[in-house]
Amino acid sequence: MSNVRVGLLLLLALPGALPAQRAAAWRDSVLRLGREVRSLQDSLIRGDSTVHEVAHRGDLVLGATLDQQGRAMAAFEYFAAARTRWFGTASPSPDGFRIALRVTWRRGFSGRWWDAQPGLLILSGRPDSGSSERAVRTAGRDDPGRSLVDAFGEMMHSHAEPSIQKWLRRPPPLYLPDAERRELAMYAVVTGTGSAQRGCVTGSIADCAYALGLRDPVGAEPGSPYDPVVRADLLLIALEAGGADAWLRLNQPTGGNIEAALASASGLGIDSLIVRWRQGVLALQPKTAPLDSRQVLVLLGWSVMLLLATLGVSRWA
Amino acid sequence: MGIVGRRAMFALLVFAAGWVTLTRNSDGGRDVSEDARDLRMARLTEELYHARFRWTALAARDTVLAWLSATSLPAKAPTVLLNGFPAGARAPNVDELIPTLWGRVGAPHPATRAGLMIYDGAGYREQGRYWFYSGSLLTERAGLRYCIGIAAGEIRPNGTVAVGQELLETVLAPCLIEAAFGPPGAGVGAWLDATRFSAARSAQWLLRPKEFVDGSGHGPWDGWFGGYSGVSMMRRRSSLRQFLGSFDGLLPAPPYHYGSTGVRCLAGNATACGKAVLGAGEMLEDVTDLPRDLTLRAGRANRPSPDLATVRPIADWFLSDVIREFGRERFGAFWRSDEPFERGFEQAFGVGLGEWATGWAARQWAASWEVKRSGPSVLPGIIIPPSWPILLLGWSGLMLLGAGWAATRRQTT
Repeated sequence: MSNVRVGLLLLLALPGALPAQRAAAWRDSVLRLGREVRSLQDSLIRGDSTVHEVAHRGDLVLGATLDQQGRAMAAFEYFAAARTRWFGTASPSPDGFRIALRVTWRRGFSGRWWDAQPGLLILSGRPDSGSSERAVRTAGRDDPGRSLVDAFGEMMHSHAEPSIQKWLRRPPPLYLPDAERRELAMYAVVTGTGSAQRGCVTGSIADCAYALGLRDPVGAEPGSPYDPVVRADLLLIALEAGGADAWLRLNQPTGGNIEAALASASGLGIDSLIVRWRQGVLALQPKTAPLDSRQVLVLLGWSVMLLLATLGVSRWA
Repeated sequence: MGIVGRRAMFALLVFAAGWVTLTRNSDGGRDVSEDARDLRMARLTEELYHARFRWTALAARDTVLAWLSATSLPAKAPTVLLNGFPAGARAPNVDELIPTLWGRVGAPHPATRAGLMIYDGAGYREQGRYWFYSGSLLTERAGLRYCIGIAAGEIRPNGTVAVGQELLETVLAPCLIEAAFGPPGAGVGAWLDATRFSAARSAQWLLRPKEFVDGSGHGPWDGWFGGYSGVSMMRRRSSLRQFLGSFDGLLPAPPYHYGSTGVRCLAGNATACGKAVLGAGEMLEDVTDLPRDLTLRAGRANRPSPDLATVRPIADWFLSDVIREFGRERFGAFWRSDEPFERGFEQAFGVGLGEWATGWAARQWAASWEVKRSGPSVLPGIIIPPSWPILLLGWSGLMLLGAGWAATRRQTT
């Protein structure tokens, strides 16, 4: 057999051995993609508990396990912005702090689901020495940033001036979005039934101060003060107005005088602060009625039908 | 129970009715959301499939073209090439099938040549997955029309090459039609090119009588669900509505996976049926990186995202059914016609394309497994889920019964 025929037979016998540039390029793609798929599958199934540094800025360092790195940056940015907004560069302890957030969830692909290894986010405030303030939280995957901020807020509350802690009663609800927190405060204010609470709504600063737990009551029967979420709302308004060092000024010793602490934090007179807060809260009242005309008609219609049915239960002479 | 008690009971019943109907299930349950790595896995898997399909298709094509350059195929029967297998390997079912099929064709058209290449899929396997190209290559050389079926096989321990019987019939189907009727005319040729021969993948016209309904229970088109049909209606419903909603899947909903053209065709619209045939290649229009001499099926070479208006690919056996319906002689006239597809169809068969396709689609639909669930009548338009009348009539009936029973009582106080 001639060499040419042997060569032709060999060419025909071997798959993929023909000089086909495009086929070869796709073959290389298949091999490369196959390696990537295998590697990623192994990683997804095994889970990965190694924490890698994701970001650092100023005194903040964030580390995360591999499965959390996708959302870790967003959480870091959220935390950094919230911390600056409420607390400036303050830290709960001179030794720094560390918050470990375990993220639990289920994952799957190709129709299979399993409980994944909990992911981990570790946020450190330097120097994060051995005696730094620590917190461990468990959260779902929805918004790790908020969980970090809430944990930090708890730390800061626990290290605040005792008079501030006592006045606040519990840590400010930093896990709530602003709008939700303000709506809670608005609802508490406008639906308050005590004498002082009603007086605050109608414009009495003294009544507002009492209802906010800042002063003694004016009248004989002032009713109860507002819920602590309203006090937290006032505090956060004061911190926001006061800027970067507001928290530090808030915690300067004032002999237990909360009004002085708030005024110092906000940079405003206490009455001005209360007025600003009150105006902001009352401005959030809904402008539209909860029922529109169609809903009212439906309600009336059903009510009439039920009434007629009820009347028909008995015979009437 | 006193009158007050009865009224209280009645009010409680009304409240319970409203609560059971309207209360929404909590969305609780597991926290499932996609991680970036899950999305990346889905994307990589998609790319891997895409790359492997093209690798096997192009490598097979190159092999066939080199084979055609080196070999002169005889006119009478297809030549078989076993590529990548040990010397002396045989494919017994190929040896039986080809004489059977070509025997029924009769004398092949002198301007056509046929062949079959079976390649060893083991060389292209990745992670135990088999995503190979199978189809036909149709090309012209020296005034002759060549049709080569391409299929993947595997070597068995006994040295024979195994390849699926149905796969063989599919990849040889275009070759059988060309062997029987010659190269297609301009009209049919343009349609075949647009559909990448996807409607010419059945050889049942050689094997089955006219009355046989092909397709093994599949409908007239490939069903494709677009994003519009992916909305879950089961979330955020009350437990009662969720229970009743489970019956909504049984309602006589139009088969929207056939697209609006298919639904209107099944409802008897002949114009839509004509469009369903003529536009059957729409979902392959985006495949531009595979040579046009390779036959393809939508969904194998690409991942289309059809919407409701997209014309779905017509059944693989459409042309085979036309042959069985009208006979070889008239089909041959249609096949070789240079008239546009629709006009050529009417001239050859004496019936409009849309008109005939309406009956064909109705027969396919009636014989499909889907019709057992949805019913033969296709009702396009707005349809109320069956849970709505049940709820409305059910609660109204209960209220009437309660009021009627109460009305028969005599007030004694």
